[in-house]
Amino acid sequence: MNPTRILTVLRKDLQLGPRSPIFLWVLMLPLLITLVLQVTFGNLFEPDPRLGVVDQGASTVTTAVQQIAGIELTILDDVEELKTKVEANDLDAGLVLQAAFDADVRAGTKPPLEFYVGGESLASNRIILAVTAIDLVREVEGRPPPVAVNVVAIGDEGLPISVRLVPFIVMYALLVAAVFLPSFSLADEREKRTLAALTVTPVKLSEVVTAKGILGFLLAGAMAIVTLWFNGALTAQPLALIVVLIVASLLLVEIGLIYGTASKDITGVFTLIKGTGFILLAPTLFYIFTNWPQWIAKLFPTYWVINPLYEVTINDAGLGTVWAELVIALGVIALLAAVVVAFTRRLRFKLAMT
Amino acid sequence: MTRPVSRSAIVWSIVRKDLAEYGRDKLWAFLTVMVLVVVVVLFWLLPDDVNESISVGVSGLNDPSALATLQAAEEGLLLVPFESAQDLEAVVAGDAAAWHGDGYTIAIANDAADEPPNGAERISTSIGIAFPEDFFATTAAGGSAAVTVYIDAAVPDEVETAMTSLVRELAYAAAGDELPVDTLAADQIFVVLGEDRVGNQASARDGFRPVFVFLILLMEMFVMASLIAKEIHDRTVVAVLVTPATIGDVLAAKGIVGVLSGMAQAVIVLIAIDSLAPQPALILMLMLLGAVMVSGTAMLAGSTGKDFMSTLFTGMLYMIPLMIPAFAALFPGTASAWVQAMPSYPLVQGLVNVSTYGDGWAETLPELGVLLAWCVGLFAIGWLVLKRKVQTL
Repeated sequence: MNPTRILTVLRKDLQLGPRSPIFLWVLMLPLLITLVLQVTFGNLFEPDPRLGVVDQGASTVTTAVQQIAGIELTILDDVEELKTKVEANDLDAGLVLQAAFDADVRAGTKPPLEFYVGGESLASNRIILAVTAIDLVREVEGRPPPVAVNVVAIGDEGLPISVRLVPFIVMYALLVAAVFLPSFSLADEREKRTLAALTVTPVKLSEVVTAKGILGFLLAGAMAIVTLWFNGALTAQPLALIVVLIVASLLLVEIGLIYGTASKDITGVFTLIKGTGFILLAPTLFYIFTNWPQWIAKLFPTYWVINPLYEVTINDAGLGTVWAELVIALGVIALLAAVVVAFTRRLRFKLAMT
Repeated sequence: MTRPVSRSAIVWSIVRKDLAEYGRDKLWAFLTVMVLVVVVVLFWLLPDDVNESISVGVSGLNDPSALATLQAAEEGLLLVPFESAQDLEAVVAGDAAAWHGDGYTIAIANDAADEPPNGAERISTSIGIAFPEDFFATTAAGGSAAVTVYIDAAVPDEVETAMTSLVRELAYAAAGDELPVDTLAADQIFVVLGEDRVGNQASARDGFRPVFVFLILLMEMFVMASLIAKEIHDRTVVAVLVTPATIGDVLAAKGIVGVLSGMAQAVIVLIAIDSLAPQPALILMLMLLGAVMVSGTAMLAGSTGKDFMSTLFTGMLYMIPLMIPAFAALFPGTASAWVQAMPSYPLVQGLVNVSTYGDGWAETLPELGVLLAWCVGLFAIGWLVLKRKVQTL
């Protein structure tokens, strides 16, 4: 293999590649998925109870609710608007506090408590909002409660869903750049017969395949870093991150090259990706659904790069923690390299026969 | 010597040709079947019920009637009695498993060899409230009791706050302290607005139903767009136009193929996920309009795509905004105005209203009207763009 010829092919791909929609996919999809999953749907998995308040005075209840973590507070001016929103399930519950509410509570004149819940609100949200509201009203009253509550927190806090989604998003960024790009590029060249044309020049097929791999590798690393940064998951362990990203990109690029050399056209690559994409992404689901049996994730080959990535980016682990998994990943890479070589030879033979 | 051929016969011939091409395209045939199977399997894997209760372990309330009263008063709580605070702490910490039987709960340590009792069901709880045995007596006598709340650190903040508030409110009630406010209802502190759906909430399966059905239509959009792009790329459409067929015949045939294949797949999925039953005619009407809408979009995407990749990419550009209302339907409440402005919104909302809330023709008329307007608009635009494209070939 001649490095100069590989660089020439790589330069050609870098110049002509951006004309292909797949380049735009590589650049846009990770950011789009981050936006969709984190901004739009992060809330779907763990919705907070939603309380609307119409405060006609300046009640301390409103201020107190604002300080409670986990309750989504909306302050409204109009009681009818509040009731409409509660009925339409735009809010779980609505509280109306009259002008002299606090003073009346303290004076013991029992002001009316207008507290509405939506018919579609969950029973659990109703009780959370109701007992919290009543407790806050009791605080306004100012009398000490006849009980001392000692809260004992047990175990680790766990990670929020926005963090648990990061492996999926980063893996997708790697997948698009490292698998889609080389495989589609190879299949496209084969379909348009430019691959056959290249092989009548001094460039060897193995050099073309290597150049495609390098392109995918470089873009995968870059897009993974951009995606991590976009998700606020750039680690304090830069060396470990670089090593893990190199190993992950290598493994996925090899899968991309296998797809590209095994398929006779773009539709073939698409079919392969659609058929096997689940296997590549499956381990990321185990970070989202932490109650699933975690050992199942280890059955998937990509687990051995996803978990080090997770440990390094989310748990700030160093190489000392993830070296064993990386060794297994390197073993997978060695196996896949043999497959890439075999498929490249097969492709060379097929091109020679056409 | 040629005998005159009717327009309908010409259109029908092109429809048959397109359907045959569709069947011959192995990739799209594979993807169509795969998406159908995946959608149906995923639907039946989704949970059909909604867990609305917070499971709370309780110890120290030795009087069963007190527990029963508390359970009845606090809808949304699932109270599980434990023998001791130690058991409760061990279960919340995950050091022991809780087995619940008829009126009892026992905790078996993870490292113990004990077998669970026959008929007992394993339960999990991440919150435990350990009352002192003299809780009611102390508070009723005006004293101050001490209660420990064991809580898994992963429990959301608002639940932790609510549990503390709950214990305090129980103590106030035991002490005979009335609420310092007048409530609107006599028996509970809140008034329910709208149909009370506690115990009958829309499940994940209900929520995803329109998403899945719409996904099928969108898949159809890709297939149609790809077939159109292929015809343009291979210029077979030009070959068809040297026959007695006009551009209008070709476009009409494309529209019919799109609607037929979209409807056929949608009906298969609707039957497979048992979603036709409530209002079959109304749901089919919504799907028909949806199929017309995606056919128009497919004409747009197909006329701009050059090959498989560019068609896929262009299709994605149309698909993403059309998917937004389907996903927005998963969230509670009214969708934002910009989501409601999407062409697919009336289709999705109509499906949600009919399949989840049992709406009929009268209630769905506004959605049908808006959807029809979008269908006419998108189909007309798709028709014109594709016609222009074919004319320039």
